Amino acid sequence: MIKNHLELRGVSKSFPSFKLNNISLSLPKGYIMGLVGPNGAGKTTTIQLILNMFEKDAGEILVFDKDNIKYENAIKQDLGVVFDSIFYVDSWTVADTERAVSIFYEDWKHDVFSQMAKRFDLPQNKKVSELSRGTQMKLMLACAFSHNAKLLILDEPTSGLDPVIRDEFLEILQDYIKDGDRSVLFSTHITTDLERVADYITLIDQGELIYSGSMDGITGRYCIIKGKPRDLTAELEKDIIGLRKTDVSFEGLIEAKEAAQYKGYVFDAATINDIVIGISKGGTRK
Amino acid sequence: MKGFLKITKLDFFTMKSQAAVYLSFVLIVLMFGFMGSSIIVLGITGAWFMALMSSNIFAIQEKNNLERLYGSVSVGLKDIVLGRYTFVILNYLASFLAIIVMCSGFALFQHKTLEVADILLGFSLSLLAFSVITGIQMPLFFKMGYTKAKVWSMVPFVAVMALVVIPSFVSALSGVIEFMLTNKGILIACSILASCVVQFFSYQIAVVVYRKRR
Repeated sequence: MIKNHLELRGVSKSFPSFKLNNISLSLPKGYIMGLVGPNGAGKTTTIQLILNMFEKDAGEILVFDKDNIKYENAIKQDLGVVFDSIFYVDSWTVADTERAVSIFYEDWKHDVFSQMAKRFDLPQNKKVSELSRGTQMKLMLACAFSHNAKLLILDEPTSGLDPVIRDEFLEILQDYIKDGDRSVLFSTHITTDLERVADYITLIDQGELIYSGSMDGITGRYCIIKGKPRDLTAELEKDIIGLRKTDVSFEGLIEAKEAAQYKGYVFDAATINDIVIGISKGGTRK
Repeated sequence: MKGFLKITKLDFFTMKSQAAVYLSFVLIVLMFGFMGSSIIVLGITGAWFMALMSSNIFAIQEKNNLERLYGSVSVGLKDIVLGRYTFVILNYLASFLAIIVMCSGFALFQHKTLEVADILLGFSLSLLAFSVITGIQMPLFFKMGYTKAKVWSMVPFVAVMALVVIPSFVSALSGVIEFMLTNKGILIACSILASCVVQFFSYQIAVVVYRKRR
């Protein structure tokens, strides 16, 4: 029985100006994993390596417990992919898109596509170029659902969407995994979306893996420390990640295990957003 | 269905918006036909036109991020390249079939007969011209993408034009040309064979450069 729908072990890829280094993660079956990090962190590269759109330099990628290169065609029958922008021909209508995409899937279900089109209000005769960004995203999702994908890979699907559509999209994702047989890898920099739906999180910064594990694990690992500038000792400054100083106060991210030694300061729970900003900015900000 | 055939089928869907351009090809052939052009001239015109059209599929691919679609569906790198070659060659074959149909119509209308030898000669020479042009063009598009390869892709058209013009200025080649024209069977066989060799090596190079691009 398959335990993990996706597993990366020490995956690396070098480009002339960027290196993705030693990325490992495990996405158990039936869960949603958020892939977060600032722009240029390596999220899209990681997804493209999973899809074998780039050849990795080192490491191992297993999808449904199978090597992603050796079993590429079989794996992709059960994969649904949504990118940040539409990747269908702009002159296609919604109906044309179904005909074109269905060529590639043995288990394509026209009735499921029709149901999805109805649920998402996709106008069959409207061209892809005439659809709004939110509707284009729904069209990509309808295609992913119509071949009964077991793993959805989403690359920044909610960027540029209004809050109402984003909310609807998150509901669709939660609905999608409720039978426990499907999983989602969801790359985004809108971390509030993840706090609502993700069970696991992988944080990447400048091509390096910072954390991969449960949501509780990362939020429990860090907290926010606040105080007055006179209370900021050199030792504390060293322990703070992404220190922000003003004339009247300071605040920053600190590892929970380090926080215990500092008494008399104000501590707040860190959100995913605080952690991503703190880690990606690092250093001291004034 | 084989992976490469899925890509060929997708390419036909992709080029659906170009139907009007294909229709203009029929009009060009009709115009040339009324002017009394031979099937060889019509065939080479068709080859020229279809080679120009083959760059459109790469333009549409780039404009619409189709690399992402190819990356998300169950086809391998070789399927993508072979599927594209198959699509381009089928375009040429369809164009030549249309030319035969139209030439037959003209011949019937003018009470002439269309010789099989002329059809074969027209086919083999136009196939050679088509293969040389697309054989150079396609690896360029796979290596650089449409925008970067656009200028370079004109080089094979110039090369083919040079191949047509140069023999008239080089007297040493006149013997070879005369021999070819008197031995049409050898010319047809050599042209078809050379076309196959060019397409084969072009495909192999395209696979290598496309893999490196990834």
